[in-house]
Amino acid sequence: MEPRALLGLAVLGLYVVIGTVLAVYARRMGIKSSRDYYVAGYRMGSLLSALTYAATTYSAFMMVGLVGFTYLYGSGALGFELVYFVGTMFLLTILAPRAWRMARERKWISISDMLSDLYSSKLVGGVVAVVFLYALVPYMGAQVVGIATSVKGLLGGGEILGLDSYLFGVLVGGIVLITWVVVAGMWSVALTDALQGVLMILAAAGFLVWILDYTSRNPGLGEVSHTLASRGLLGITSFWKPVVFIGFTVPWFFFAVTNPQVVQRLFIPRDQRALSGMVKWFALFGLSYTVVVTVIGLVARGLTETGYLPSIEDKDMVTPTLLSIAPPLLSALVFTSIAAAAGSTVDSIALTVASSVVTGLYKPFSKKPSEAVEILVGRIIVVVLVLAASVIAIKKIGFIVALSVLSSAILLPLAPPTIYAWLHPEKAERASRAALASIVSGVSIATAAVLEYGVGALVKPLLGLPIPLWVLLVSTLSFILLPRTSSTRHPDHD
Amino acid sequence: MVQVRDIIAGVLATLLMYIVPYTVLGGTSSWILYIYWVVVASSYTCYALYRFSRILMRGGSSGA
Repeated sequence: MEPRALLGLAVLGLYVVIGTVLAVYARRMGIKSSRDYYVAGYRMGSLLSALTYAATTYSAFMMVGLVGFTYLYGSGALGFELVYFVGTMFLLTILAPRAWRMARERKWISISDMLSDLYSSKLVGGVVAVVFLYALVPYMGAQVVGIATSVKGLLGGGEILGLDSYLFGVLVGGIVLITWVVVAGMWSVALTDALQGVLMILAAAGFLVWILDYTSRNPGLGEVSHTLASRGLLGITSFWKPVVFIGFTVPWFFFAVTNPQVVQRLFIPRDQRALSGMVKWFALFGLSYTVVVTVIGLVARGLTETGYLPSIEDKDMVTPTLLSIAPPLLSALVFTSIAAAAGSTVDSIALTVASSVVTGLYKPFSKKPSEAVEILVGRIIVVVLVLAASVIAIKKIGFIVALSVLSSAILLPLAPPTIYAWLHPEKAERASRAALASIVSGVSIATAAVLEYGVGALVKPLLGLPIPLWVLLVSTLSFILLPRTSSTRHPDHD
Repeated sequence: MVQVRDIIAGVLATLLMYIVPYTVLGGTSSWILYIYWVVVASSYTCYALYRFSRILMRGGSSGA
């Protein structure tokens, strides 16, 4: 094995060991109930809450996909990502305090639990759990691809222990992530997320310092800036047509209320101070990380335009190409941070989806529900979900790849019923049929678009509007127009 | 209750993220569009964090 690969393996190994120690340490927090396991007993501090929120939100897409997007399509990529950021801050400001307070008052442990309770309908909770499985398992698969690709990059391709390095990455990633979730649920996920979040921001900062230094010593920062401007990459390039920009931004704008792995994190801060701290630290993390990542992408393009970096057609290869000329230790840290970003997203989703399946699909049919069994079932579901994601990462089935790209669009129909129920909890139980209609109609449109257009569905215009906007419009109209039930108790209320 | 000014501020910040780049700054050949996006996003973030703290001080505005 080459020295560079050996260093990569050492950094990755150190990261896995520290993460596993933290996960085991998390058992000291005491897991006595399903509330302890799934939402950390509503007693997490601000910094830990913020780091798990940030590490869960920001996946391998940032350091791989967004760097590539910025490299290929210029400053518009920053605008797209910052629209997500502004949307998240907007939704958190007006909704997070309500969601946090209601979660502890009503003892929610999952999003299925929350919607079942607010709409007084087990059916709503069950349908939501199915939608999460449908939309998020492919997305988990895409993240495992990110982990395996990073491990392959770390090891410089080739084989290790007789296994292809990609397959080795899937195997190691799967085992580590299962361990980190199963050991202590939300506590072990949050503690390892904190490690992952710190690694992500430090590696990104190191990457930025290196690329700026490399650029200043070669073509010069002024030359790169001038070249980027002359190529039109600092303005809106032809790629970012309004329909494309809207198609990309609409699902992400509502991410904070539609993606269960982040919604569930609103339940966990121990008090209002911790909630406030969580949002503040997340804001600082998100804004800095976005700016750093997009500057790296732009400077990389400047290096190509000035002849110091080969031209790269595949957006996912921009970061690996840069890392191939970076110092070995930095390269190992950044590759490990990419695996960390993907891993923190996978384990958070696995725990969240497991909690929704337990409360939405298992508990309603269980004759004698008990806390211990709910935790055990959740652990089994986590194992099954990570295994399914690993199989997806190995098989790379076209339809599933398309689903992973569109997961946020598929979850978009959850926005109207979630926001409405948070704002009007007293009226929500009369709108359970409207909530179901909203979810089913929106998910159906998104699925039809995936079947028709594949991965291009996100930016495909239909009658002049992007598909995600249609999904949002139809699900919102379904929710508004369907008549409310006259009774305050829905027929399928327990 | 959700304050109208918070809704207006959020909608305004979002519109500013779309409208100015597509009407005025889209064809720029300097870093001004990049800086514009960062300034709008960070200004709104400061406002949102201030309002968030105020809402929490009032007791979370649960409505539940």
